[in-house]
Amino acid sequence: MDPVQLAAFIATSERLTGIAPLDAGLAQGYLDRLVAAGLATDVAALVAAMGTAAGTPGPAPIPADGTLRETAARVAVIWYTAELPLPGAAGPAPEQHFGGLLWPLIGAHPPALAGGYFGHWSYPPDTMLPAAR
Amino acid sequence: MSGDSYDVIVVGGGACGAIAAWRLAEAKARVLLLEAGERGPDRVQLVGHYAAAAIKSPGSPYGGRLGDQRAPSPESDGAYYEQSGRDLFKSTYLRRLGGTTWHFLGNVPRHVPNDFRLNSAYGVGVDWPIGYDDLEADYCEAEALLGASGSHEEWDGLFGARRSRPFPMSEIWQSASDRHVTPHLNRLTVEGSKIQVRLTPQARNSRPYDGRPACEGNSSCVPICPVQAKYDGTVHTAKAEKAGAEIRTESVVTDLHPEADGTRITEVRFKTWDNVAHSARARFVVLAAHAIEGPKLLLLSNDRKGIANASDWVGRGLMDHLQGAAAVELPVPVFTFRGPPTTSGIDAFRDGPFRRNFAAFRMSLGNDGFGRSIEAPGSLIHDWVAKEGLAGRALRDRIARTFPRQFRISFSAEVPPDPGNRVELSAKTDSLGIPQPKITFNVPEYTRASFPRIYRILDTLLKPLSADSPLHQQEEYTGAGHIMGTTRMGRSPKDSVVDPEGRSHDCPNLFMVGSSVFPTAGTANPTLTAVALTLRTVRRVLADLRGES
Repeated sequence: MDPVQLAAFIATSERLTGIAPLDAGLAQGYLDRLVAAGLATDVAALVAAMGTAAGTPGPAPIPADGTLRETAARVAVIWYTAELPLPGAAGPAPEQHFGGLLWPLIGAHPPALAGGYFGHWSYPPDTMLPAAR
Repeated sequence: MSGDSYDVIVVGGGACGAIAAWRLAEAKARVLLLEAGERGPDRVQLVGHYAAAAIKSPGSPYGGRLGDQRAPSPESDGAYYEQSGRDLFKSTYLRRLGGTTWHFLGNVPRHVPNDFRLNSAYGVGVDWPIGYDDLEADYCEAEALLGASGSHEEWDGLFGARRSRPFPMSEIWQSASDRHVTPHLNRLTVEGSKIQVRLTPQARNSRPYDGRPACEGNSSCVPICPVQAKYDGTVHTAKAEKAGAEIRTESVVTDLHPEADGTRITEVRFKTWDNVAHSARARFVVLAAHAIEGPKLLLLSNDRKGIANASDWVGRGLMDHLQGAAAVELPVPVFTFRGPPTTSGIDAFRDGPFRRNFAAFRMSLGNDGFGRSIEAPGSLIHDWVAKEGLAGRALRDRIARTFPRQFRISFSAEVPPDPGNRVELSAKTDSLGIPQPKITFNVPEYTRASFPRIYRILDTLLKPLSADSPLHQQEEYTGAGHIMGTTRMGRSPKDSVVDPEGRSHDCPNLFMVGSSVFPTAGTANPTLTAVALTLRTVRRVLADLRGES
């Protein structure tokens, strides 16, 4: 299978995470980590299965195949938390840790990055998606 | 530097050793502090290490360096402890200038009076040779040194623990989740105990204090505060150096060597990381190497014949607080994952007649969702995709809806002293040829039998908060990182290692500070009590230096 093209990986990631546009620099870093962890073929298969067209409306077509599902889960987790919990897999670059999609989505901030002024945690966050409310 | 002579050598540069060195140097004593670990990298680099860590464990900012071999710990080497007990001892520590306070949570409640008289009050364990009132003034001073934020009104008189001074700073504000649940929880009376949520005293600045900024809510107190709003031992290693103390890092003490009859330490032998042997002399030695490395060093000393151990209690009585947790998904968002990991707790079960049969425990209201001990966000997201096939907007909305509603209460339960729970020398050695610790730990039945009761109480607290949510429970106990009890204090040389002032019964110029001297564990996070006891011991050392009886 041909190496995964960055644009195709971003398109698949956007359909998978439900968030667009995704940052190309982070995408390259995540793709590199997935490939380094031995998942190049699996990621290529996932990209092929989910299509490459960005901005496709409606629910993302999540594959039914078990291996593809597992790969999809790893891609979603790496985007939301920067984690790739596989034995021996490298940790994130610091900008990946601080760039996890989870934190702004829930009105929080990545650990070790200040949330703002003293006591801000005592109040609801200033911004968060309507879905959280 | 072989043969250099000092008034006092302090072994260990954690909070207690640092405060001892600082106080002694301020009093013009000639002080050498020897720290096995390293001084660097600096805080900014460490935060980068943390961000880049594959697993965000307490030791994650500090590992991956030569110290993993030269001054190893259970955080740098998962097999560092040789464990021979039925159960695992799960708590760890950090060997680095500033010590384990680099990654402590920062909670600083005091013991309550009956924690000092567990045997008299409930027939369990032993009594301390001192009482709460003996330590009250030192508690006040310790709160000032660490920079404690808390509510005097809430804490004055808890189970008889009077306070003679307010906290130096007003309380850390409650998290939004705690503000939501507090009115609900405060309506409850559970197993005869009226529930009252209290704002936890924390060694975390609620305003600029002692040259450090106010907490800005980085939410990474464990393993590192990026701005040092949370206290750590480097606050006082810096003060100690400014006061004239000499600090040598990467210096692993191998032998507190006595004169021939074994009653006075005459020489402190240590190895630097290049495996070169050194020694220094002092009139007094303060052992501040925490509750695993401390007894290990005593057993190693005197050419491995051991020292200060006529009682055979060195290494025995190893304790921890054993933790568990339960959690629910609340019907409304409460915006966790912001601010300190915990801002409030429930102290209703820290004392009472039940302690005759069951362990006391303290509860913390979590501010980090389900926490890693139940289920971290990444694990849930993985399962939603892999098992439920969620993707796209459905996945995004599930994430946005779920995590701000997660709410957890954890507990830390008392472990009574058992002479069979102990630290010994392993046959395995580290890269400097120093034996590693051999740990024997069996969860006492007193504590094990308490877990079902505690989970029942957690169920009673959590269920009314969310009628529709399943109760999620932590599967296995975890260690609180509260390692205590391996050089315990007492009046009798027959069954304790140090006297009520921290002096070795056997070696009058050897003192010990830190939580290793605790005879029982109580339920308070131990750092504040350890520092208060350190202040008491330092007064004795200073009096001895001045030749006072």
